[in-house]
Amino acid sequence: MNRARTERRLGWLMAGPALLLMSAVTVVPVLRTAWLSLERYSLSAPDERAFAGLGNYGDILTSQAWWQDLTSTIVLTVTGVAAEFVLGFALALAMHKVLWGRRLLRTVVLVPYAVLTVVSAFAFRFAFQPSVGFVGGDFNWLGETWSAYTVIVLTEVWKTTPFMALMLLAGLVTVPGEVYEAAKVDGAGAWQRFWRVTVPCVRPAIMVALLFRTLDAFRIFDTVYIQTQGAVGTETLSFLSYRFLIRDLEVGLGSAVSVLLFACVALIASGFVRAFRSELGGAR
Amino acid sequence: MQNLLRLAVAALTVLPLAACAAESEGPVALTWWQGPNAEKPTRSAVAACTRDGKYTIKVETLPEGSDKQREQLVRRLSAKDRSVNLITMDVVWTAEFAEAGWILPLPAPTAATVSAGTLGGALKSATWEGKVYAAPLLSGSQLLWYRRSRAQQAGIDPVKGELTWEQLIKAAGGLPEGERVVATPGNRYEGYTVFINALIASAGGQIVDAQGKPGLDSEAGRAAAAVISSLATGPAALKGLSTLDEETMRAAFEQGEASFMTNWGYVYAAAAERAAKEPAFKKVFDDYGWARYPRVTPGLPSAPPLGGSNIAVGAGTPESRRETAFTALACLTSAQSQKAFMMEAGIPAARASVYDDADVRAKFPFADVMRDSIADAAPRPMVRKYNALSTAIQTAFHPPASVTRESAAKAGTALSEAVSQ
Repeated sequence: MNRARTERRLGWLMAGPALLLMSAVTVVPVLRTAWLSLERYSLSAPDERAFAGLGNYGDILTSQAWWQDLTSTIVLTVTGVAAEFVLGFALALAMHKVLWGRRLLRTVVLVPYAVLTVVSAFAFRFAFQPSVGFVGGDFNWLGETWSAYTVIVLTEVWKTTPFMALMLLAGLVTVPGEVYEAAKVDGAGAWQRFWRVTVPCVRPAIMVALLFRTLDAFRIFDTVYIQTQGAVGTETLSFLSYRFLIRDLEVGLGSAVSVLLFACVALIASGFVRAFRSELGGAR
Repeated sequence: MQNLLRLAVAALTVLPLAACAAESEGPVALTWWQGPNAEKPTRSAVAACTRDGKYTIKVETLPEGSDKQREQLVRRLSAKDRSVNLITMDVVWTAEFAEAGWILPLPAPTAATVSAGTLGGALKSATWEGKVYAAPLLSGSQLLWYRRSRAQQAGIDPVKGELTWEQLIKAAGGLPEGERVVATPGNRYEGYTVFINALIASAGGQIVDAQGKPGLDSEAGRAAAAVISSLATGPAALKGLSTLDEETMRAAFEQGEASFMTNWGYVYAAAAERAAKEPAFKKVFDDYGWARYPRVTPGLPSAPPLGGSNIAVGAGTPESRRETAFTALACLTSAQSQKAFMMEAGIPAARASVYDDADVRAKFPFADVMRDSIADAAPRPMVRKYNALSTAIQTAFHPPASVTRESAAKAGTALSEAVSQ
């Protein structure tokens, strides 16, 4: 008993500095943002600073911009992650199954992930520029809503599919070969083996990959900033928070948007975790 | 041991004194936060002003684009950075910076030096609530640029400066396919606000009046919306209008797809440079024509867009350096300095006398039109929340093809919401 207590104390002592450091760089800013979101505070009018309670939240939730940006963020997240998932799974299977040139394939697939988001956003913007772009034609891709969405999603998919593929590959590797052999012996075809064996076995990996990518995609900023600056209805929630905080210097409003964005992300994460838990429970 | 101690004590008492002396005796050190596009004239202006050794100026180069420059500056200014002494400001920042107490009003003698001989539009952009807060360094207005041969072919003569947008679009639309575009800004960016503001002012209206009341839901607002609509959907429309900015307009005009465009004076210098390198382009360059910005209402002279930059003194500047900073500001914006900027960077001066200089007139054949244009230009609204206002206007009128006469009222609502938040 005594020993257990000593060990626990030692544990706290050893983890303590790291814990302190972590809270200094994460918890403090989060709390400060939450506090600022309750203030009416603009950097360009420092004298008019005042406590506003939930006023900022009211302003944001009743503004058109918030709902419009929430919709565009959801559209970009859902279409992007869905496309990445399908392509990523196909790539993961190919990387897993292919016998010849496996190393080369894995390297090649990973290349886009090594490119900076800003760089890939510029590359796609130039590619889709009317008349001079690599895509060709004189259609103004970034000038219409649907086509601008297409370009943004394409950029995101190109860039992050490798991440998805890698996560799924990690899941595939853990599936023991015997399971497939047993399924084969039982007369299951390739399609059946995929749906009945592969998918259930890699389900945890699928959940993790989808969770990571959804959270990431929901905070999309760079691609939109470079390609449209939020024009033609492509403004996302992160962009809204940037616009308030950095451009309009509305620290209060911007912080409130950040807090709401944080709440959205937390909601998504908890949804995934719940689904994930019931999955594990079902498998047991 | 005792000796050593004595030495240490002596060192400790003398060294800080020496440091003190160095600070008070040497020249005052100032830092100038300047944009990236005029390196050579910036260097020569600094050299000329610091020749007598009374002060030194260190130049810190800001990033490209006024939005990014502002983002950097406001963070330093709101933290009261002592090293932000001289600031090159976009003309639209004056109200916000002055209201926030980030820049100091010019003392009366400096204000008098700065005001004397500076063109009306430029000086207005440096003034907030009756006080001069900055010294105009550079100015500029947009002109109507056109290919002379094509204007003739279309049967119009823009030189008189009485052409209306309606006449222009109709005439340009009669040109052959691939030559009939009238290029104007259309991307969702600050340049689009510049354009909309000029249209509304040319129609005799104001985006925001002196009392801060929005004036978009008015005859002038609707007339401006009608011009945008016919530019976007009429015979002279360019397919890529909704992403068009100064540089893409210039490309379309140089390439020939556009026969008309509204753009700043730098396009002439850029074309001259290209013509010197490419003999084939020389013919196009020789065909360049320029005229006053088009009108919205036939009887009313146009109110051309106003651009440019002013220099102000940052409020974080320590008391002891302020007087020197104002002296430096007056020197950097002298007529001589402005002439160098105009000659070397192609950006028009803010002082009227520069336009009478023989060198300037030889290099800029459009000097007279430019000077009058700046003098009659309509500054963009002077409000503290300019940025939010500008975003609201751009959004309400974008994309250009969606604009109808009703867009004006819609923009008015969005604008009140943005400014009141």
